[in-house]
Amino acid sequence: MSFSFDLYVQRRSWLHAVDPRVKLAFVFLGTVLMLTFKNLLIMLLSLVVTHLIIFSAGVPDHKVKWVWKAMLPINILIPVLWVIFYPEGPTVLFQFWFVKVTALSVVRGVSLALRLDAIAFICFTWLFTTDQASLVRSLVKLGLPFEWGLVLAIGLRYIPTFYGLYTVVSEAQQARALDLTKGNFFTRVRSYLPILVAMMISALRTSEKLARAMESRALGLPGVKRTCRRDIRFRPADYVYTALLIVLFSLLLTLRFRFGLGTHPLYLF
Amino acid sequence: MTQGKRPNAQTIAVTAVMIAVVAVLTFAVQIPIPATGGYIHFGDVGVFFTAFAFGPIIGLFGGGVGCAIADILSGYASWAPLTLVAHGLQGWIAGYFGKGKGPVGMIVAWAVGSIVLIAGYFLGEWFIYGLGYANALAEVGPNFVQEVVGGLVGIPLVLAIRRAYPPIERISLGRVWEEG
Amino acid sequence: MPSEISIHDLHFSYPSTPSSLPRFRVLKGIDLEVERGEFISIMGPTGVGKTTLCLALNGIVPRSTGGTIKGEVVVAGLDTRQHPVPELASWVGIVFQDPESQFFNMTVEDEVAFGPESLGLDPREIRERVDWALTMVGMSQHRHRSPFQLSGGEKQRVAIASILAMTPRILVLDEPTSGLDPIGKAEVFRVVRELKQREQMTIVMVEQESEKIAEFSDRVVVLHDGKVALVDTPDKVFAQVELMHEIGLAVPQVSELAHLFNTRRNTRYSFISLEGAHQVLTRSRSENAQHVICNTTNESSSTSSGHHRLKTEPCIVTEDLWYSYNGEVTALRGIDLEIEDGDYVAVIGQNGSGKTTLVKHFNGLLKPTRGRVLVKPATRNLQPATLKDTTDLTVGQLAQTVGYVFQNPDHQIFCATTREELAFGPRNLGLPEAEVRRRVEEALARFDLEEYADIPPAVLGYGLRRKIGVAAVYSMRPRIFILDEPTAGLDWRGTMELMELIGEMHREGHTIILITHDMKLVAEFSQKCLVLREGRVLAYDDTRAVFKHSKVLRETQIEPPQITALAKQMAPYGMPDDVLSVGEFYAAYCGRFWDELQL
Repeated sequence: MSFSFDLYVQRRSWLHAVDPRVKLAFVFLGTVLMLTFKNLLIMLLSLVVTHLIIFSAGVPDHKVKWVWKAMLPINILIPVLWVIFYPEGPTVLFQFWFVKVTALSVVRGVSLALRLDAIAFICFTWLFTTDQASLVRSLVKLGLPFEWGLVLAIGLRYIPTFYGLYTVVSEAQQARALDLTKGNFFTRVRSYLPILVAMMISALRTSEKLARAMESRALGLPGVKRTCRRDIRFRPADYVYTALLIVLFSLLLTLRFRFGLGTHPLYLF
Repeated sequence: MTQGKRPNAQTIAVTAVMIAVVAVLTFAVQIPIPATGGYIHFGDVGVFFTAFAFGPIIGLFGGGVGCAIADILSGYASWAPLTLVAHGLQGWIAGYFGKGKGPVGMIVAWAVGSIVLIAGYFLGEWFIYGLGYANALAEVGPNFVQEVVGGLVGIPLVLAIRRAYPPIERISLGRVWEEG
Repeated sequence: MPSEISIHDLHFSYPSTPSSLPRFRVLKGIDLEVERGEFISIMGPTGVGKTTLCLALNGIVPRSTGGTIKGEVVVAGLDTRQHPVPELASWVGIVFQDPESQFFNMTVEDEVAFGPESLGLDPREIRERVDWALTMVGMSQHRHRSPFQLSGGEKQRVAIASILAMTPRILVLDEPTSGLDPIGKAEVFRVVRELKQREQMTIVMVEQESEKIAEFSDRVVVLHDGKVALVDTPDKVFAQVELMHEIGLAVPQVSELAHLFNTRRNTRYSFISLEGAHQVLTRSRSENAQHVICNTTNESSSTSSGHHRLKTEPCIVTEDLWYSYNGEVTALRGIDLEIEDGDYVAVIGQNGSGKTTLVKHFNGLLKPTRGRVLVKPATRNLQPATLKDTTDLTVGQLAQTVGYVFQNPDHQIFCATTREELAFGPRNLGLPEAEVRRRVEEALARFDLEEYADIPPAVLGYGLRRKIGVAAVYSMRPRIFILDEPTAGLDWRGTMELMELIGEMHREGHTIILITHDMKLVAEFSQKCLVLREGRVLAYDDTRAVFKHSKVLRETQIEPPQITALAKQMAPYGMPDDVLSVGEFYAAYCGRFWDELQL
């Protein structure tokens, strides 16, 4: 499987400049909205829009391909299972043994899968264009206690470190003839214990040292309110985006619940 | 361990470290399952370890945030919110029942945590993501295998570390000093 | 004027785990006064409580560690028992040993700003302080990078900056260079030198490098058995060579040399720096230069020719070995190498030069991207072995042939007792239980670990964990031993004991491959020296020949041992330019012109 430790794509685009809180609001409202729709056209439209947003921010193709590749299995699995278990509507495309493949259930299955893709890309508009520091800072600005923001920041910061640690420890134990390929599945799974134990002990030692380092930098000084060197502030454009976001969200929500927009898999109303 | 509502440096450090460890164990460790051609990971091992060693709060953060980060870094961002909740609850429950317990207590806590996790994903996929019972049910099998591995490796891991590194007991305790 | 640091009868024990064990008493009555603006170095054997003493200076001991304390610590006029750690932190800043685990921010700039932010300073002042601190350590141009991408030396400089930004009155450096390569060490010491000269800060530095201590310190504090054994100026401390060695500590090589002269020739030398030694030893001697030089050339060529041994079979061969990580970073670029059976090879080079990547190929942890690696596998029934490609050998076969002691013992230690730890490897090899037990007992005896056989190794001190790491590989009886920086973080005695054991294994016929940054060890113990730079072999020759050609070392920015450098500087006066140890220097010097000069 492929992964990268940091999804952030460093660019100077309009989207990078948007306040991370606005982007977070977009992710939250967008996800909620998507979960209320079931319509194929809306899913396709949102995918087009999110792709336009992402590409306009200068995110390279391979990042987008990587998301699609990761989503591929569920894009197959979900429609297939849906079609098998939820036949629906009059149009039967074909019948195979007990499986009746109907047109409407195919459309519904595909839109369900695409909905997950759309949600993923909504999230990635935020994650591709916001560096981890501003990401954490925006959460703190939105009311997450500073300490828990710090927890998140350190957690993200130490992922590459512990990935390296896992690699080194597993090499070190294999150098002592630890064989990870021997025996049945359960023996094999348990043969990882020497690696996990050594890794955890090292991680715990790291946490002790980290705590000392933080205290030595005056974390939690009694009676003093922390200041912040670099504050994130709304620019005029951010107010515009926020307003736009609220208007769009309310509009779509009204259309959905007053007029039934996007409840049918094929027809908009 | 925490004074008032604010976590102290030790809590911050240990929670952060466990988030990173859980994330790494989820996306970096891939063990093939011979029969199916699928893979299992050690994320749940990390969640149960965190919960049993450090209790519900750190279990909640380590499990929820750690697994959600792993989802995002692997490209499955749409699952991340559900993962955050399901693995968070799993870590919280397992920690609530299993912290500092012996093997039997941990097995009970493991069972409860596993049920919460499997049910959480099942219900979430069925109702919140609207994928229907068939798709939600399809996830139960792999999740079950994942939980079995989580207990099968996670519980011995806690026991092994208690024996190999006794100071682990001290990490989750308040520090007392005295003059003498 | 009151002292900046005043420690009176300080006792401390850590809380015991498990609580059944007796409490571990670390400090047993420390008394120390440090004046404002003084530069104090602290030396002491591994596990003597140097770090504990540092932590006591800002109250982490006992407030965050727990434990039992007696006595008094007053820093900058504050009693540490009365003030919480974060408050003391703005007066006493600590830079820790491990560059990796003292960073918790996403960028260098954020890291440096963290302290001032905790102090609640005005954002404008924070920015000014960040700029100033980064300039002090020469890291301004890296301010937007992630600390994760920095080299070890850069990380430690950022760590210093992040403490400086809080403008403490006292700066404590706890072995800031022990994990660094020679370039990293030099970078950090350059910053320390700058601070000493430009800022009126009180500096306390824990360090093992006696040569650097001699250069920087106003006074040296030597700890032994939880107490202060010596406090004096560097020249006085390093003159007591026997006492220092008894405590288990190193002195600069020139001090050792002075001691040798003083005991054998009744002189009253006292050297702590190369320049000092050079000045005294060359006094009134220049006129003989011409005459002696021709003499030396003959002599030194004969010494190096005496080193030739019978050529034996190679046990490791690499052919055009290339390796790249993830197909991106090319770590090895065409290495052709033959390591002979029974050799003792030191592998040197800066971090990132490919040392570890190379040796990982020897036991098959890495497989070449291009080219091949051949190893002569161990055979059970003493059949004549032939070289085999590592890709054709299993993990078990390779582990049995090539033992690899990793740099950090904590990457290998996981068992509940030392005995189990040593049994892990042999058991994996599938040996019968009786044989496993026999080997474990033998290893325990050889490494002097019987006392700790039933204790969890992870709770032992670093020096012992280090030794257990080596013993756990030894118990597998590999013919070839790879040791990756086995002496990092060990004191002089620990280093010498370990090197003695390695030497013993070598004499028994094992091939030794030693990665190290410590040139004194390379000079004294290895037969051959492999110099790597940027994934290529820069030199592979007899150690003496490598050290003779200072060009090679200069190209890799590696400093030769002090004694080698001294001899080289004295070459115009007739000293041979390939001296490797204090003993050799002494012999050469006396043989050359002692008698004539005494007349």
